[in-house]
This record gives sequence, structure tokens and C-alpha cells, in this order.
Amino acid sequence: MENNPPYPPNSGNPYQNPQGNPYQQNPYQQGFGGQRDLSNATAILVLGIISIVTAFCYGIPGIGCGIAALIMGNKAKKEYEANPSMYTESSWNNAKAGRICGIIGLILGGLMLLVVVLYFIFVLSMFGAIAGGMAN
Amino acid sequence: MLTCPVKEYSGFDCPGCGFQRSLEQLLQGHIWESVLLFPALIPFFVTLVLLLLHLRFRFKNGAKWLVTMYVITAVILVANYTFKLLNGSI
Repeated sequence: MENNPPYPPNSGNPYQNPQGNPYQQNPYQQGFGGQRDLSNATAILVLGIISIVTAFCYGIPGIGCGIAALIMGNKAKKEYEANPSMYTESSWNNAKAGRICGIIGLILGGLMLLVVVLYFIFVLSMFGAIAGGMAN
Repeated sequence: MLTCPVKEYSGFDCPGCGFQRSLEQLLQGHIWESVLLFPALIPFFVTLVLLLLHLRFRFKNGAKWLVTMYVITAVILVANYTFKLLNGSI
């Protein structure tokens, strides 16, 4: 007599939980139905929010935070849209919010950098004009 | 206090100038003086506190409220800076 089990492996065995032991859940899984948080949703939100305070030191830190929030936000958007039922809605909302804040911070930081660059170009050209005038 | 690098090298205020003076006034309990110096300070702190509470307690509409507060802060910042520019106080 063959020693095979009376059922094919991994199908139809009523005593085998396909999800594994329910008491050893993945710590990253939250909510119902095995949904988990989008990776980096919290980081996107925090970066997006702090991009506004850092937008004014020549605009550079704000631009950095804004770009980081935007890139990570776009990645999270792709992940979510590929498989919406896999991720929690709250983390998706956080990622969306962080992305919007990041875009605003990026615009403000970009404007600030533009103003500073234009100002220094203006000052340098004035110096150049004065120096040229003195040389003549 | 930290010196604003934009002001140090260019001589004009950046949109974030007034933040530290405003914070100093707020810490001394002078709320109105703080608002006059930098009106976006209080909305910004409200946004930060909301962010921390939202990350801890996961409010249902927390993300929407955060974006709303953020936009309010940004609008106040830009309006304040525009007013200062037009007013000639920088």
C-alpha cells in the first residue's frame, strides 16, 4: 500500500490553515483581511509636512523634502493602484496627503530658490557693471 | 537666535523671517505679539500637533485635516510675505 496522504499536498486539507498559524501574524499586517500599510506612508506624510518650514533656507532643504515626498508618494501610488485591496485605506490617505503637501513645499521652495538666484545674479551684474564702469 | 542666511547675505527678509521672534513672544505668553510677528506660527504648530496625534491615533479624516491645515499655513505665510513686501517693511 502506498504511503501517500489521501489528499494532494496543500489543497483541500481541512486541518491545514493556508495562511499559517493565526497567532503568528506578520507584524506589518494590520486591519482586516490581511491588509497592510503602504510602505513609507508615514515618512511621506512627515516629509511633506516639514517641507514647508524648511522651504525658506534658500529653498534647498524644502526642495529636498518636497522631492523626496513626491518620489516616495508616486511609488506608493503605483503600489496602491496595482493592488488596492492589499493596503489599508488610512495609509493610502496619508501617502496622498503627504504627496500633496510635498508638492506645495516644493513649489514654495522652488520659488524661494528662484528669487534668491535672481537676486544674486542681479547683484553680481551690478558689481560687474560698476567694475566695468570704473575700468573705463 | 540663529541668523537667517538669506537675510545675512542679501539683506532682505525671507518668508520664514520672524519665526524665532514670534516663538519667543509665544513662549512668553504674548499671543497677539506672536501673531503680528509671524502669523503662520500658530497654524503651523497646530498642524504639527495634529500630525503627531494622527500618526498615534489614526483619525478617520486625519489626512484631510492635515492637508487643510497645511494649506491654511501656506496661504497665511504667502499672504504675510506679500503684505510685508507691499508694505515696504522688508
